[in-house]
Amino acid sequence: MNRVFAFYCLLMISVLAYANHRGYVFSNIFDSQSHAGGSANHYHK
Amino acid sequence: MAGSKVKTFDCPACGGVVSLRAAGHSITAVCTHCSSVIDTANDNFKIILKHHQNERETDIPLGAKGVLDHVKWEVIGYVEKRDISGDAFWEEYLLFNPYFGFRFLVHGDGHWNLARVLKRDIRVNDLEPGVFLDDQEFHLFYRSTSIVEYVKGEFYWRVRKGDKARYADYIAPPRMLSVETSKQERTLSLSEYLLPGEVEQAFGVSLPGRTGVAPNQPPAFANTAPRIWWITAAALLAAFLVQINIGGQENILSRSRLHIEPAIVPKSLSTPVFYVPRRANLVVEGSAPLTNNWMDIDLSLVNDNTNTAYSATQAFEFYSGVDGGEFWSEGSTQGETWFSAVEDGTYRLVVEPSSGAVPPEGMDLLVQVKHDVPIWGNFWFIVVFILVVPLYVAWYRRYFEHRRWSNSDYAPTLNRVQWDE
Repeated sequence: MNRVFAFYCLLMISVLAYANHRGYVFSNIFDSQSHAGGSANHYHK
Repeated sequence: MAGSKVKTFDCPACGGVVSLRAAGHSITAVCTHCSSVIDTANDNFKIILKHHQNERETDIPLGAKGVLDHVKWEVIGYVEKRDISGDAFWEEYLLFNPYFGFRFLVHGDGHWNLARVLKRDIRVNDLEPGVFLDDQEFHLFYRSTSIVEYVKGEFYWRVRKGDKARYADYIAPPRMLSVETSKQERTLSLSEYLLPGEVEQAFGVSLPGRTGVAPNQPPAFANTAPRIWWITAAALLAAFLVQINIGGQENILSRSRLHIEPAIVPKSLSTPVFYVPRRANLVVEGSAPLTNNWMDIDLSLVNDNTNTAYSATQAFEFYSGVDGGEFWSEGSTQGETWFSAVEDGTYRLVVEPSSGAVPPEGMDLLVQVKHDVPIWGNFWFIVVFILVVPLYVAWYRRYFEHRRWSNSDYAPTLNRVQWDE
């Protein structure tokens, strides 16, 4: 169990490092109203 | 089993054949046909108690052989007991090996224990909630009187239905010390908790599942708990170091002052173009001199080369006044919007503001665009995901101990549940 948890922690730290490096904002993933996620749409105006 | 000889004789009550698997050790046998209790201390085979009851099926049949604790045992006797209050019921299988003697395989509510009788005596004070054995403290768990409900097989002591004994169970999971006092003697036995799978595998039988928590069942996450907080602390420190080293080098890409005219239909305004040097997050900060007013801004971060846009909305409001001679305010004249993972390139920010009331002379909206801002929200997000595991373990251990001690009248305070159990 401790090994599994240690691996899980490593995974979480890796996710943090990757997200910070790539500029992902976790809170935006769950914020359906802002639509300020990583995907871009074509601009029509 | 090497060295084990089965001796047979005819039951003096019913004439059925009775087998003695531990001949020379057993002094009592119960006829498997009529359940009469027979004295087997000598070859006279006198009837101690005559019965006419049917034989009951048991999870592990008499004569079954299995290896437990690296020793091959044979089941030679079976006793059913219940607490005199009727709250508890359990079974005791008597195991025999000619070289290692006797053991008890005790079963209750799907939980199993392998017990051996201690040949030494220890000081037990009924007024104290614990006893010490080999420098280990055992906590009093239960104290009552047991009564024998059913017996079959053979035994090295006199046993029959209706026998009563006072008993006290002291626990130090996964061990349990039981003190049984009858008219004749006091017996101390030390039990070790077994997983049902171990018993199933040993005797090749299928056993009922566990219900509830046994008195000496090992604590939940017993092997995990001592180190889990050290791992958590190390992980949080590592996450903090990652955050401050790969957390972003904040720089300002654009500062603009956009003038908002009073208009019925919101008008689009655009900042000058700015260059995003590498893929990272962008933060747009907007501020306006609001007084008892609100502002909603539709934001479009448009890539000038590809004409693709990241869209978002920003809303803020500010209200203030004087109530009962005291100044009050709520809200803010500033808003902040995060754009996630914006690709490098040349961008402009198109804003479409709308407000509750724009003064006739218009209103200035200040827009600032920051790039690669440290995202502490990401750090706290990961902290929560890491902490949820040890917090669950801690909660479940307390819950488990609460369930264990809910069956006892002698529950210690839960603060006594140590992490290093």
